[in-house]
Amino acid sequence: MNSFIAIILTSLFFILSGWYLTYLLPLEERLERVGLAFLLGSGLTTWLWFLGCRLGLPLNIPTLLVSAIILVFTGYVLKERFGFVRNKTTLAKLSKTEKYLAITVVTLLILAFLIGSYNPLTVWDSLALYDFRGHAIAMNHSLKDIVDLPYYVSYPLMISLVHSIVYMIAGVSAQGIHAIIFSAFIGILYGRMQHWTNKTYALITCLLVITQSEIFTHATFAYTNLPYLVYLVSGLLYGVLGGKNKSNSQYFLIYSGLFIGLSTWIRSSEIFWILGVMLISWQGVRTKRLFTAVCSIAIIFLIRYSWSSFVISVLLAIDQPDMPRISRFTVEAFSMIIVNALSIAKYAYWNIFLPYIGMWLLTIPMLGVVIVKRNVRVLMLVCAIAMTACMTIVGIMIFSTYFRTWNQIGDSARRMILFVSPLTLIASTYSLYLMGKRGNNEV
Amino acid sequence: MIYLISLVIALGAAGLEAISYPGFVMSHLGVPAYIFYLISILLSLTHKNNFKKLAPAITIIGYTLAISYFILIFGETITYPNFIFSTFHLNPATFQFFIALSWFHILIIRKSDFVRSLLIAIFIFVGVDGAGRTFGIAFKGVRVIMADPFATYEQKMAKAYPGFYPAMQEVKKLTPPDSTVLIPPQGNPWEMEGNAAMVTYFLYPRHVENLYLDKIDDLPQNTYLLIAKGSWPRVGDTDYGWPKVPVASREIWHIDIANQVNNSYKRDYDPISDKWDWGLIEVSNE
Repeated sequence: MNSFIAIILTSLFFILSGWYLTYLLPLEERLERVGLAFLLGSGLTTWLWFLGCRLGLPLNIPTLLVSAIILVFTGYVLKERFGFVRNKTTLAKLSKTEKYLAITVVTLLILAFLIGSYNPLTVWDSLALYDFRGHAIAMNHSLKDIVDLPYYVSYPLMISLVHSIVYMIAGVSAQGIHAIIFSAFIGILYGRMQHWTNKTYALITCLLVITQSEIFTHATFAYTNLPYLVYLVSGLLYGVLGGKNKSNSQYFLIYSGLFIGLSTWIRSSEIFWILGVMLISWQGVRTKRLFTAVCSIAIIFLIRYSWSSFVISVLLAIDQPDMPRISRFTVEAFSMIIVNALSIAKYAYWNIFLPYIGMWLLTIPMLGVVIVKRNVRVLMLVCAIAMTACMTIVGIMIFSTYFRTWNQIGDSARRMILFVSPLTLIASTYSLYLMGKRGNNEV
Repeated sequence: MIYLISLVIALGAAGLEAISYPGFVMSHLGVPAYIFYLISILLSLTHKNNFKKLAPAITIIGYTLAISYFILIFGETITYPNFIFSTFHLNPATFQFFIALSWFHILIIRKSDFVRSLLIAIFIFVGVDGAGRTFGIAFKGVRVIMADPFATYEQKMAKAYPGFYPAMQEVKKLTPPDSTVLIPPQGNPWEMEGNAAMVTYFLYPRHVENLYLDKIDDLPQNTYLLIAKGSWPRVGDTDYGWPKVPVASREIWHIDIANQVNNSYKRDYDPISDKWDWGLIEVSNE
């Protein structure tokens, strides 16, 4: 089957799987609903599919359909019990400028899809790890050969399972689905920004995010950094609620937890899920919804644990010790950090500060907005950006104590915090909107 | 007046660094250019808007600068790295600062408030550069598609991995799925064909393993050896060609990529006579 058709069918399947779950949120934009359904569908069906595999079920089309049916049924029950009456979610009418912006956004997304679908899979990790696992699963309907080597379980399976679905329905290359994942995120971004600001600002934010060349490039090949960004930033977007104790805030918090949990189902070694835990805790206290916050955090840990426990079992089965990690702050580790301080500073400057210099600079006027407008959403986003920088620097320090060639993988560090670009652009566009308005105008 | 002087100095410093190199001001005046940028930005808070009449003209200059930068970055992306500097002797990184700084002051003169001006100026800093690169990447991608829109996946792969991919396809045809394929040790000049994870991707479900010379005796049944000259330029002491020792064989194949044929021989492999770019040995342990 043509890869285009296989990818479109897989995408439709994900949208249908996650559709009912979107009814728990009072969304105004149809694009956001579709994006949300796709991301929930792809994340949760593959996760349930994997859980089924752990229980001994094969990874084939019938069990995938069972996962989807479970998701649809759960969504339907939740919708009937707690769901919002669907608002008229229509495609908003656009002004002339907005139409030009929208056309540019859509054109770039279509181009990313065409380029990704046309180009063969050649980038190293995407080929040897993510896509290989996808092919192996499609061929064996199990995790045979994947569980034999620690390398093959070094990252969670979500992207490989998505690839395997494309291959099971006879697609040739699954690379194009990464542009669809990105488009789903743009749908969510547009919906959230339109809710917080207006259509023009929403479209400008989407355009700014798409035209970050590294993000656009990632939409055309099959690395996991972009899907990770998509889930993490979506989780943070649903977590940064404005206002106080609104009737629907508990659902936003739950969805925030779901998305951040699913980000660990794409890349588990990164520690940025902690940002989500902190944000949800903050919101729980602020909106007096502690129980919801605890449930949301439990979802993150549940999804994270489902993979980490599997990795431990695999490593034990093949008698392979886990990766060496620093388990406690020893004097040796601390002195190593002191000795490497200059190298760490240089490394952080070249790979963390310089590639995202515009983003770090944007946080300066955003601090001004926090002070002038006293807006809690901007404050949360600025804190998330600042925490990202701190966690990255501390992470590099710790990494330098046990990984001999730590300073030779700067590209990897740069890709790891790719999500800081959309996060900063969202926060700063929202800040710009607030600066043009009287009062706080928090929604 | 002080603001105007600081503005001229800051733009001068940014302009000088744009046509020379980052750090030019520091090496000649002992003060980083960023200090001048910062002073002019801070002094804008004292601005009383005496240059309102200049606003339309400087706005046009601002747009011209931003569009020029977009075109330059687009040009660099679709040609080669360092295209802008080698052609126009203009440093894009510092020119980007020049544009952002210009836009900040244009907005201040246009009566925009401080924080808003700063936000928009940095948006231009980030957005124009990103847009130039992104449109360049998209243009290059479309150019590749348009060059051969109906190419098959195999043809595209063969283009991406010339020699290696067609050879792997042939090995796949010649070996049963449950066989073991032994490949050269990982290292120069077999960077690609000695990479077990890479070869596994193309030969799966066949089992792929690196074979080192000390283990070349006593090979099990259903085992094949890849013959590989080495597709990467030789940089070390290790010479081209693998396996480097004779191997008792049932059959050997010369995979001729250029003519797209396989020549089969029922004899042992001899590294002296069988110096092929690609080939395959079916091991005999009789």
